[in-house]
Amino acid sequence: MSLKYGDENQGEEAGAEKKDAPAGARVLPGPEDLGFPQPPPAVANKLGLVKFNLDREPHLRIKDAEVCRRRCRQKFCTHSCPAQVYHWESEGKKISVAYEGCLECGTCRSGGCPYDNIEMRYPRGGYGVQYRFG
Amino acid sequence: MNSGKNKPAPAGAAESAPARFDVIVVGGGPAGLAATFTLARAGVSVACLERGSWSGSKNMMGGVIYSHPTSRVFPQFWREAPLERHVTRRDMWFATTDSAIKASFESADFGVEPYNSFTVYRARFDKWLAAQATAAGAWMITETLVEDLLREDGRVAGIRSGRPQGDLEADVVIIAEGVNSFLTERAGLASCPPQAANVALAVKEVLALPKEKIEDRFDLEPGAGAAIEIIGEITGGLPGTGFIYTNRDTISIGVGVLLNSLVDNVTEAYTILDKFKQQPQLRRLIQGASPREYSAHLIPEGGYRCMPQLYGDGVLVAGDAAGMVNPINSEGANLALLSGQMAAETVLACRQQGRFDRAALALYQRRLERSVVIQDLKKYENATPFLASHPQLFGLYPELMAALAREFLTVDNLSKANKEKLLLKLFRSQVPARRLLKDLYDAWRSLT
Ligand SMILES: Cc1cc2nc3c(=O)[nH]c(=O)nc-3n(C[C@H](O)[C@H](O)[C@H](O)COP(=O)(O)OP(=O)(O)OC[C@H]3O[C@@H](n4cnc5c(N)ncnc54)[C@H](O)[C@@H]3O)c2cc1C
Ligand code: SF4
Ligand code: SF4
Repeated sequence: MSLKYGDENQGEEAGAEKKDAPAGARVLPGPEDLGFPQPPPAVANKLGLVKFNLDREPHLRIKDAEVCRRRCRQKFCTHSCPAQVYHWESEGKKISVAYEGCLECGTCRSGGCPYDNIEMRYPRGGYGVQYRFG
Repeated sequence: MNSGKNKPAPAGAAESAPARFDVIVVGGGPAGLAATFTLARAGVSVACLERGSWSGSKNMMGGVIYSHPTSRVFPQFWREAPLERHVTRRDMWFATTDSAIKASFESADFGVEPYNSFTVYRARFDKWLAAQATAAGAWMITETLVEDLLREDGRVAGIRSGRPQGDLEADVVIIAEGVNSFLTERAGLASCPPQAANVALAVKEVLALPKEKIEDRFDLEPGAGAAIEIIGEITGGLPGTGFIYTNRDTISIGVGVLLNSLVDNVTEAYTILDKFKQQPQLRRLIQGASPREYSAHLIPEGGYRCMPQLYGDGVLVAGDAAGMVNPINSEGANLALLSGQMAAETVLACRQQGRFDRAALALYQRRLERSVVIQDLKKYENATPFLASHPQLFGLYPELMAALAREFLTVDNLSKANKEKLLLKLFRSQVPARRLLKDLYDAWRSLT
C-alpha cells in the first residue's frame, strides 16, 4: 500500500513537496514502513489508488485494549472497516491502527465496533483522504 | 513530508476573514452549499466552513443528481456544471450470482433540456457548487474542521474551528456536516445514537474505460448515460443494493449494505464488492476497465424515525446530518439541496423580525413538512426496518425469480403447461404461500 501526497489544489507545503514528485504524486512510506502490518491484498490494491494528505497526528484511538483482548471474540472492526485500518496482532494481542489509510467513513463509530470501543474523529482540516472523483 | 504542523491559511480566505458573520454554515456538501448560495445571493454575510482542501474532496456518492431539485437552487446548472453524462436509461436488475432479470426504462425526453438526471463526480461537482456560492459573495473557508459550537446564554452563537483564533460568531449556525453528525450530537439535537441499524456502508470503485466502449456496451447515444440498480443475491443475501453508473470515460460501480447485517455476518463490504464485480452479466460490462479510485461512505438509513430535532436556539440542521435520505433509493443529494435552501429561506424570513430563537426557527420544520422532503421521509418511514427483517428479498426471491425465468425460457421437452405446474411446485417448496402473501402485503404497506 502506498500513500500518495500532493495535488494541484494543495497549499504551499504540497507544492513544495511536488517538485521532485513523479507525475504529480509523491509516494510516502507505506504503513508497513511506519511499523504497521501490511493489510491483505484486497484492500491494499484499492487503497493504493487513493490520495491521502498524511497527518502525523492520529485521529483514531482504541479506548480500552482490554475490551478487544477479553470481550470481543470476532474482532469486528477488522472486517467492518472498509479500509482495513484495524488489524489484530496475535503476537502483541492488540489491535493496531493504520490511521493513515482511513477513508473517514465513520463506520467504526456507528456500530462497526459493537463495543463502542473506538474513538473516531475527523483528521485536522485539510488532512486525510482526498478524493479526485468521489 | 510536511505534516504535524498547522496548515497554511486557505487561498483567498481566512487571513482576512471577519470574525463575525450573519450566518455560518458547517459543511460544504450539497446541503451546506445550497444554504450558503441562497443566503449570499440575498446579500447576507455568510461563511461556509469545509474541512476538505476543497468542497467535494471528502465526498462520494453513486452518483446521480436530478435536474428538477438541483435547478430549483442552481437554475440551469447543466449549462456550466461539471457533469458526466445525462441519464437516458434507468435499469433495475434482479440478480443472482450467475443470472439477471433486467427491467429497463428509457425516455427520449430524458435526453433533452431540462433533462432528468446526470451522473457526476462529487469531487468536481461540489467544487463547482462552492464556486457559485463564492461568486454570489459567500466566504468559503476550506481546510477548516469545525470542532465545536459556541454557546451564549444557552443559544448557539457560533463555531470553534481547529485554526488558531478559530472562533467565529454568527446569529445562526446551519449544520450541514453530513452523515457523521458529530456537531448535531454535541448540540443535543440527535434523536438516534450512531448505530449500525441506522446506516448502510457503501463502497465504490471508479473504473476507467474508453467512452466509445461505454456507449457500445451500455447501448447509449454519444454523451448519454445509464444508471443501473441491482438487487439480489449479489449482496451476499444481505439487505443492500448494488449500482453501476456510466460517466464520460469511467464507470462507477459499488454496493451499499446495512451495517448491522455486515457486522452480524462478519462480512467485509469490499469482499461483497469484489464478488459483485465477478457476476457474469456485470463482469461483461466492466471487462478490461482499470481501477482509478476506491471510496467508502455511510448512508443514513434511519429515515423519519431517526431525524434529529431540526432546529434549536440559533441553529438549524440540514441534509444527511438531519437523516434526510429516502431509504428506498438512497437519493439524498436532492433532499440535501432542498433542505439547505429551505434552511436559508427560513433564516431570511427570521431576519425580518430579527429573531433566531427556537420558536422563530421552527418555521423551518413547518416548511419541510409541507415539502417533498418530509413527506417522502414519512412515507417510507418503515422501509428500513422492513428491508432489514426480510432478507429473503435479497436472496431467496431474486433467486426464485431467476429460476422461474430460466425454466420458462429454456426450451426442452416439457410442455408450457407442465412447465408452469413444475414452476409453481418449485416456488411453493421454497416459499409457503402464506408467507409470500404476508411479505407482499408488508412490502406494499411499507414501500408504497
Ligand atoms: C454510495 C452512495 C451513493 C449515493 N448515491 C446517490 C445518488 O445517486 N443520488 C443522490 O441524490 N444521493 C446519493 N447519495 C446520497 C448523497 O450522497 C447524500 O445524501 C448527500 O451527499 C448529502 O449531502 P450533505 O450536504 O447533507 O452531506 P455531505 O455531502 O456529506 O457533505 C457534508 C460536508 O461537510 C463537511 N464536513 C463535515 N463535518 C465537518 C466539520 N466538522 N467541519 C467542516 N466541514 C465538515 C464534509 O467534508 C462534507 O463536505 C449516495 C450516497 C452514497 C454513500
Ligand atoms: S471491534 Fe471493537 S472491541 Fe472488537 S477488536 Fe475492534 S475495537 Fe476492539
Ligand atoms: S472511519 Fe471508516 S475507514 Fe476510517 S477507520 Fe473508521 S471504519 Fe475505517
